[in-house]
Amino acid sequence: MVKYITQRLVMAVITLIIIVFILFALLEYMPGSPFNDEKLSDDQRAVLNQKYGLNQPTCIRFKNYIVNLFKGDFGDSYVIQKNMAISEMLKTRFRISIKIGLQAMAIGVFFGLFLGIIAAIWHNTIIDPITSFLSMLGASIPSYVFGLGLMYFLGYKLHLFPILYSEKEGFQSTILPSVALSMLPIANIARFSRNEMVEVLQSEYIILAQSKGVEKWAIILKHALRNALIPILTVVAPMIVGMMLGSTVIENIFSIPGIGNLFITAIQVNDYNVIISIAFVYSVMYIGIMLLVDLLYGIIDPRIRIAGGVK
Amino acid sequence: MMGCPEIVEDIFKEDSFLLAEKNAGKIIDREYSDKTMWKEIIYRFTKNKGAVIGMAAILIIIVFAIIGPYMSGYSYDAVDMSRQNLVPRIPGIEKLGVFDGTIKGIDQYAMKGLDHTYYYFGTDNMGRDLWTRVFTGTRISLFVAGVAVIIDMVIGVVFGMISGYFGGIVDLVMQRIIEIISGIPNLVVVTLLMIVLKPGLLTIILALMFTNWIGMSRLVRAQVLRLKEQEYVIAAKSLGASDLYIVFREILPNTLSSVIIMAMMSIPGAIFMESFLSFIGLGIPEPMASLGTLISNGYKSMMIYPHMVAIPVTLFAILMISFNLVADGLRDALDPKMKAG
Amino acid sequence: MTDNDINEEEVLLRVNNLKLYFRNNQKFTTKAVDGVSFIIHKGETYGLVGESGSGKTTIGRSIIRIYTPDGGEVYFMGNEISGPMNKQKRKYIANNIQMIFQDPMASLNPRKKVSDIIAQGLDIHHQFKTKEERTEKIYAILEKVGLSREQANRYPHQFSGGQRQRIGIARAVIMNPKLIIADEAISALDVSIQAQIVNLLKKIQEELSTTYLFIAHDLTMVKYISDRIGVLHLGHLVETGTTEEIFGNPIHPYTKALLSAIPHPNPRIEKSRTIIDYDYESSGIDYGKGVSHFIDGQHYVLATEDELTEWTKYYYGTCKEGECK
Repeated sequence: MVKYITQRLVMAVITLIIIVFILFALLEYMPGSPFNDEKLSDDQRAVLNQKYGLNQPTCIRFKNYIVNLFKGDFGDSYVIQKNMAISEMLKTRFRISIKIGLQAMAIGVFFGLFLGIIAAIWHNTIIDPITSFLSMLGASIPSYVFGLGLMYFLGYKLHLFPILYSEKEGFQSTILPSVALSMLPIANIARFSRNEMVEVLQSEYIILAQSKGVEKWAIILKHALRNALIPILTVVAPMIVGMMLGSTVIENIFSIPGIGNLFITAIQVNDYNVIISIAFVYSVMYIGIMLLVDLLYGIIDPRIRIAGGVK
Repeated sequence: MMGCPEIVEDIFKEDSFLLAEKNAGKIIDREYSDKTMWKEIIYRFTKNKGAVIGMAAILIIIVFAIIGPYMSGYSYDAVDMSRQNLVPRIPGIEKLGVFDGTIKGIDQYAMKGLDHTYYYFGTDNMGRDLWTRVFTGTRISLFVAGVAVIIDMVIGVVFGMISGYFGGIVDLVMQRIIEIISGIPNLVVVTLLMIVLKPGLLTIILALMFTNWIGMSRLVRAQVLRLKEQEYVIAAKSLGASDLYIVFREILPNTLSSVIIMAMMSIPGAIFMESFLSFIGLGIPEPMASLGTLISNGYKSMMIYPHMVAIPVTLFAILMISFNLVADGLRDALDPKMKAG
Repeated sequence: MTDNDINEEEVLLRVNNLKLYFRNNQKFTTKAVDGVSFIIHKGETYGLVGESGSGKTTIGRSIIRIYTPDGGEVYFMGNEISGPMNKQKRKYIANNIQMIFQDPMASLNPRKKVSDIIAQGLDIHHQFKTKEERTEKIYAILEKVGLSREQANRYPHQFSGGQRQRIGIARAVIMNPKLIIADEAISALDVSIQAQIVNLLKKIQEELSTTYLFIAHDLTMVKYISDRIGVLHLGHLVETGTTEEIFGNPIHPYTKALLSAIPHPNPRIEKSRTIIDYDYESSGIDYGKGVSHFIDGQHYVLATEDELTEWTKYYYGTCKEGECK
């Protein structure tokens, strides 16, 4: 078990370092130094280069870069907001993105489980294929299509929810984007929990057949639920990726001042520092979540816990 | 008998039992024949209504993607600012009150004096015919996705084969590389690639390639590991077959069905990735169109002229759903055991 | 093993102190084959019997170099085929030694046509000049094994177990090998089909003077087909001799136990048959300490001096009622 954890940790760290290296290399490769478009004389440029440490050998700059990254210093934005510390820009945006993401996950887990359980319990009726169909829709159609649809029909036509995000309207304006983002988790979780529940229910059902009703149902649900939750971990990882992708566009169309939106803007104006910083943030998030999932697996799956690995 | 010299008298003699049929030694056992493999696969596939619908939808869309742009008589990049933002108008159907070129009761076409012009899907904000653009866009989206998936397949299969067949250190190293690469989120890889290289058809294909081959190689490797131990592989080895022969003639054909299924399943992902890139502006350069760019452009006027975004989005959604349905159907048809999802 | 009576000309295969170990993990190594020696004469059928785990399949596969031996040598017609492998050796082995496998389902590639499966050896070693020649050879073999030429274009799943085994035999025989190793070739078949297949093997032997190494665990079948027999237990060859010697005068307690477990068709004898128990762990025998002792003719036993004395107590004396086993 310990061996497993350390293995995963080491892998995660190595991957992160390689990513940082690649990011740094890209940064170096990007055309132009930050000051090229300003009218500076060569001397002034030399002074600025000196000040920002831009003429030191690559190794040292790489070292500084890493150190800064882990201190949380991402450098400055050169285009979007001249000379503004990127870490400042990210702080507030990060909070908003996370908030919407968590909301989406919450909706996803809640409704996903709900649908999955219903489909499993009534899996001999028409409810099951309907939920299968819905879940197929949810998995195939990208979240931003949902976003557009919701925005148009619920927001514009029916005026039920605010179309765009704004701080003033607070929670209400986060509903549409969260719902759009939650379609994918709902679909995946519904499908998975339904499959797991059906299996468990079918096996317990025989015992249940002989005994009385309600109490046993509660136990079954609890027990079945616990079994169903474990493989959900398998689904989580790819979902995170999907949601990261989806959130960028969702933020864009709903005008949410989050990280995804900043990412898109940065790409469009070629603010390389910002792009790379956000890429780094995404990578850390992704690797972190994968690590967490692996660790959780290690705890839950006894094969790994006891034997130190499944090989 | 059993080591003891005492002999027991036999009631039964050598000819006490005779075979009922004279030609015992030459009997060929009754032939046992299944439906041939292909018929069974097709049968299973067609049983799945969803898959059939999906397949039909894809075929219809492909047909239109090929002939559609020629049907309208317009080209996809002819800008005509006098005809911008026209709502769809379809001859025949317009008599029913829909697609009659009116918006909020006002007949746009009449306003511009275009009584005999029809734009089946309307025009975009630059006056370009949307019907042509949508289907040209579909062409490009499909092309990009198709090429990306094929390259994915080839790389993934080769990687998985080598890793799985040779095992040992080769496998170890290759698997570590995969672990590291898969630790980088797709979004990052793709966008970084797009930034570094100039946007264009080739770069998009390149970027898309990066995302899927890892899954394919993992699948292939698992299959190879399993098949390596099969007796017919051992038989081939004992006949003196070289490794290359075994990999290509013995193992590969048996992995094909899984490979095809996985390839089918990655097409929607590729289409989506392309549309995403286009949406954020990293995709196909103007004036070429893909479904993604159309959606991106159309969304800007969504509230006023919803048709500009609704049509490509609907087509896009249909495409995605259909590919998923077909992939599911294929998986059930080719290998019912894979259903674990 | 004393070679004094053996005519080297007649020895097709010589296995000398063969060892094969499997490493399970860092702590455990299984000694699948631990010092086995035997010879096979030209044109004879040598039956190698033992229970599962005795190492018999491993020996077969080591001879044909699917596994690489960890010790000992294997000589075919005087040429060493163990040791480092190269293309020539591989070709030499493929042309002279072939194998028939146990599982008729798994030993044929489900995606290949029967004709391609059978001609695989020909294809690999380019042993034909024209397509017609190849097809002719395939048809000839199909007939030889009792199948028809119309079946050449079908796939394995369209045949029954017995037929598939015939295909496997065809694949081996088409190479015209001098030695065929039948690795439990009939164990997975119905009893009635077993008889057919065994008779087919005998017929082929008559026609082509093939030598067989017949690996099995079913003693009755082995008795029917073999000229000489080797009894294998836990990676050691505990006893070997002609069929009459083994069945008529088993010396090693393991052999006796094996034989005692064979049911007899004659109900009278069957009634009085008792099964002998044999447990290696508690028997006090250590195979590692045993040496091959010559008994008579072709009969050898693995034993220490003391064990040998103990076991042959009744051989030279008169047989007392009830003590013969």
